[in-house]
Amino acid sequence: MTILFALIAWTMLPSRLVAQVAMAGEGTPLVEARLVTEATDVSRPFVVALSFTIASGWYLYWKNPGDAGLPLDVQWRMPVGFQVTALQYPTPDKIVHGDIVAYGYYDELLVQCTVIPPPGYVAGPDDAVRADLEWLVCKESCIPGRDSLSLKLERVSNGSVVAAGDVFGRFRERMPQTLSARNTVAGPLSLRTEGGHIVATIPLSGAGASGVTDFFPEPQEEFVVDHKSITVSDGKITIRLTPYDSAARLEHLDGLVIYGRRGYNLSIQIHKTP
Amino acid sequence: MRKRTLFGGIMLGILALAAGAAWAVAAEVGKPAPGFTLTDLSGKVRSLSDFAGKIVVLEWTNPNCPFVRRVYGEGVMSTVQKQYVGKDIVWLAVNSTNKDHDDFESVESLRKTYGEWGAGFTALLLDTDGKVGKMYDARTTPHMFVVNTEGILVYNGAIDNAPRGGKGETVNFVKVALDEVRNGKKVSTPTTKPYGCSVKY
Repeated sequence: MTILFALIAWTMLPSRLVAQVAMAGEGTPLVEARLVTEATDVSRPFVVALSFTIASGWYLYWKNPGDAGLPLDVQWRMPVGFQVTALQYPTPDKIVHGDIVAYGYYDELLVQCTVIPPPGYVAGPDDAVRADLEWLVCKESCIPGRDSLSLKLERVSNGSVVAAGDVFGRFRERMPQTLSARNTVAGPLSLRTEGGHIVATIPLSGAGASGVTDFFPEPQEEFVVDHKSITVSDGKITIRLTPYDSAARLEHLDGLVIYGRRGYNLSIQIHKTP
Repeated sequence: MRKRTLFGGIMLGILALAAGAAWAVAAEVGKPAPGFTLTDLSGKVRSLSDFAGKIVVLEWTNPNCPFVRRVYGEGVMSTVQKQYVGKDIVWLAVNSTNKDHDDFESVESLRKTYGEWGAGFTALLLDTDGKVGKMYDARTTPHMFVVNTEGILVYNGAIDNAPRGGKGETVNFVKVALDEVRNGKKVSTPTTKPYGCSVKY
């Protein structure tokens, strides 16, 4: 468990500060990161999370940062034979400055994954789950930061890891659920072209459909999503996308259907009519 | 030729507004690049139409953005600028930071910083009220646009495919577009997702 200051990693110019420890007044770092777990048994899959505390007024980004910014970059280092699942993010907030849309988190962020040890694994004294992280934290301006975290596996299994507090509990409700939990059905998706753009329309039906307030798309390859174009009205979600080139094909559209501050997973495969 | 396309662009804009278009008028790849007039760091007035018949690169910039510092610091931006700026290619950097923002810099400070960075653009234009940025829907710094010799916008997007910096082979989309335009070819990747800090309107 390490507390490290955010550093400007990329600034190496004579007229600017060579290294700047990014602080929010009174010497508090902008971002503090920890590796946390509630697990006590490392012989079978267990949940590990990156827990971030963010200085007031600053935010970290979702996996799709929106029009600008960068998501977290995490490089895991683990003992031989270990695997780790993709990072699971809580539902972000939408942060809008004029026409520029960002998806991110104020105050705190918990990003979870499952670590899968090889069969019959027993922790050795030096075994650890390590994460080398880079982030971008923004308020009016943006400051990159990095840290290296580690969690000793022997300490997890003998229960001597410092408690995560209530952070897992606080984030339980913020994790996206399945759309059926809201009595809503989304689809079928239709596409139309508009100049050099594609407009995707997703109708919403079911008893819960009128509660949908927004849609946050996952990162999309080969297309630029016009985040400010996303609207929910007349019982449908509408999104405008621009293909990178003439070969770009929209094959799936994934994201969170939003009800207030809660998000629900949507994944639509797009089948082309022959 | 440029005047006609500028007029066409304006008419299109008026028509779109009149039609109550759901999507705001902005620069569109394949359409004439919106014309503008701005002042550069030396106080000289520059219009897009001044460069009719040349290839024009537009680069949205903000010296306080870590992405901009990295692309200049690693030589990504200045190298391409110096390689391509010449008789047939003009490179206009645009700063749309509003004057009340923390990131706003004076003319003297901008001149010093970009000078130290070895920037090779033709001019840095001041768009303090953000009007030109919004016309182009410039969302990040950097955000790149390429206009061909006929005044048509042919590229809109990132400088390259490495938002975190190049570790190994990177594709510089602007270089590729400029090479294609110079050789009379269609730009093969006209749009990419730009990366950077948000433009501070």
